Amino acid sequence: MRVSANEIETGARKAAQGCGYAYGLAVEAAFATGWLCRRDLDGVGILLTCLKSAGRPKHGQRQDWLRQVTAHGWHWQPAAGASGGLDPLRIGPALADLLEAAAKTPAKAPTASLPAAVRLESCHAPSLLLGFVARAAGRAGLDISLSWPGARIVWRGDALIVPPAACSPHALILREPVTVDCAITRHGEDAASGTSTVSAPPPAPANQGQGIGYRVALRDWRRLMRLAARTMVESTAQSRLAGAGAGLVEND
Amino acid sequence: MTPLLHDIAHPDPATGAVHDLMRPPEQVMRLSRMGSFFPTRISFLRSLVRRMQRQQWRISRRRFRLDDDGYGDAVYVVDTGSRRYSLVAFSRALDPDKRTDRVIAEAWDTTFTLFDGVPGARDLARLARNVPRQEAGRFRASELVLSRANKSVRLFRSVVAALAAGRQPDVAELATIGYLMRTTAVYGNGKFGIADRACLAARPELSGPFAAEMLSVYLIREFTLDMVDHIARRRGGDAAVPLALPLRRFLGIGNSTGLGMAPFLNSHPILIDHWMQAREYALARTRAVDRATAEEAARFRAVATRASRHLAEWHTDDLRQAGRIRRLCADLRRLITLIDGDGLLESVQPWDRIYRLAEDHLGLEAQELAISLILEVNGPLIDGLEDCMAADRVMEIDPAMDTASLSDILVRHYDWALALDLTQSDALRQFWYVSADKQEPRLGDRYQEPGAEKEMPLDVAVQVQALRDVLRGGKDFRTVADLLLARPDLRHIVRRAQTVARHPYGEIRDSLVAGDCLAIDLLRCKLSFFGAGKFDPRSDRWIRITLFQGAPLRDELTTGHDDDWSFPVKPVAPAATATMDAGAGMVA
Repeated sequence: MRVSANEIETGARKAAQGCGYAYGLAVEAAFATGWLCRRDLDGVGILLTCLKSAGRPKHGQRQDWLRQVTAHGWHWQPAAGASGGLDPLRIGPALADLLEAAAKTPAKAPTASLPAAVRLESCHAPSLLLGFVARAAGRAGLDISLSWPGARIVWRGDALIVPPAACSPHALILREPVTVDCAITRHGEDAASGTSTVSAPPPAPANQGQGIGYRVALRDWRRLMRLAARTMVESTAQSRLAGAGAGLVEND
Repeated sequence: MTPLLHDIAHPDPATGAVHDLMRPPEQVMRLSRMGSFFPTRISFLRSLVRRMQRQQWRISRRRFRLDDDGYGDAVYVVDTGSRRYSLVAFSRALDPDKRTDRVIAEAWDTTFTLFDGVPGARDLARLARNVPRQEAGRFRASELVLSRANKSVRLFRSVVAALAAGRQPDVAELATIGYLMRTTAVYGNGKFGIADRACLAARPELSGPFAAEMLSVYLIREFTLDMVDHIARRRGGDAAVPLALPLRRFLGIGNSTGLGMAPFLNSHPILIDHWMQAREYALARTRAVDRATAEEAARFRAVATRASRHLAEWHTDDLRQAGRIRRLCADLRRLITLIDGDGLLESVQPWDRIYRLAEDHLGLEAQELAISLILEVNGPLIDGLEDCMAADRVMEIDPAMDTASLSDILVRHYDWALALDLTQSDALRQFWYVSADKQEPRLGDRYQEPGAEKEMPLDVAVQVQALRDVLRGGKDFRTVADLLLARPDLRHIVRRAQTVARHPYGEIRDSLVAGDCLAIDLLRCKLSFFGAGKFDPRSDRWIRITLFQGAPLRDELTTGHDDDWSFPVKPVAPAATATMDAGAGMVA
């Protein structure tokens, strides 16, 4: 079936909320899903794979993955005893944040320096990282190459040089976690001066300006809506009568 | 960012004096004041009508196939000169027991879509299968807006009966209600598969906030007026008369709305900041004016006088609002007396003096009414600001910000939230949620009803205090990125706070979950930006309003009808058998 961009992003957000993600992370899930759909990828299918396999997130104070800083860069992996692999909906925003912060602020410690490489061990649905990496590359003026078996996507600043469409389709929708590698360099003088490219919109993907919507498998859409329905409260006689403030009839 | 909005955000010395006259967010962004707003000449529907007149849009009725009872379908085509749009209307018989303005309705008197272009036969067939089903149908990007309207049963029948019998309807009765039909939802931006708003962003004629929705409502108004004439003619035959022009013009289109509209003011801080800044900058510009011309002074007196009559005709059964209207009428009389007594219109900085007079001596509604009156007569100075009200940016996190700066933001922009005592039960009494009952938005009592664990994130004060506690908590987070790594649950409030620091008029400075929060204040604020008038609360969270009352009719858009139809008043009762004579029964 065909759905609009707004339906995709609202549905993705609510589905993520329905799976226990805090609102701010659910918004990021919607962003990541929309990014894929705008590039004619099965964003909804990939999101559903992630929501099923990543399990209910623990969004408390404790990080549930290990971060190591080595001479080569950052190495993230699931914490010992943690179930499942890295969750791209947690990893992606964190990675984008940390890369941008490292690129823009003077490093006071090696752990805060911009890494030349990042390795993410055992990451679920790595395609969901793409929107976040694109954001970091564009806003922080970085050249980034992101790869996992069968896939390699490259950005130079806000320009997508090797798009996901160039990858094997099977590599973009994975049922098992994989190791993801990220190579990073600063992009020219813009990054060195700390100037953000956020004010310049990224090049419009092929589908964006046409507004014709996106094709989603009906079965996937229904699954997404079932997850989204978890955000709704069952109606009671009292809430039906008084919750909206209009009375039952509102007809004169 | 448009050039004008850039000036607002970055005043240079030449414009600095104007910027200094802007009322600050801590004064403006209070629910009680926002709930006292009136429409202005830069409200969205006024801007649309000015554009339609300026660009000489032509609206023709391409198809009108209604039976004797008014059931059938119709197509109205709008030609902007560069593009065409069509309102496709369906009118169906409706069991009176099933008629409700609630979201939980499943059938309506009339249903509509705004179509991108002119629909062919196959489009019409597809639309006929889906539009009457509304949310249960599926739509394409060729549909820009989806809407429905129910009859104001009392008035509709009465008007049809009068016209069929060869007489004009009772003007007093028209004035009590003000519309023949009420829209109960006007969906845009991708809902149910219709076109995303991004499709329209590059079209100047529909790039303004809710422009497509306003155009749809304008055309629906035309349809309701034609429909009532049609039914009367079928009933009365040769004895029937059409609705006289002044009465047609006086009838607007109603709208019945509840909580669905309210969270928008919370969830779009950048957009709301643009709306508010444009309005406040408009006021500031007029306050900086050195002298009013004689014509401007005369126009102000005329509009103020008309507004007095408009207020006297503003009917509501809501006791609270009725009391506010009585006070407002008294305040306006006092304002006019003081203005004349002190010769303010002939003084230096007349608009500044009038505004300060209202602020110092009158209630909130009168203060905000005074703003609308002042803006009304300063069109050339402020109309350009309507181009500043759209916003295409999204909220973003600045992860490189140091946490000390984030703490500063909380102190500067959220002092109101930090000062709240959230241990008091009434501080958190309400929660906003979406019901599984056709996704109807509702408000609940946290201590009496289930569902608070699924509440929508409108509890800004709670989130702000949680963020403050973490920042104070002793753990040293160097940057926002470090903070969010440890506390991803704070992502939303951090993004929000950083956004509001750049868009200070984007945050409401009252708690939306407090027991004394009146959702109706949110509704009235948003509706005033649409251009709505005659606010008629049905409860503290449901309201009816009128749109386009007094607006030029479709055939008048190209005939030089002036832009002076704010605060419409009931026309002099036309002759019983008045026809469509443009000169009959003009407003006294």
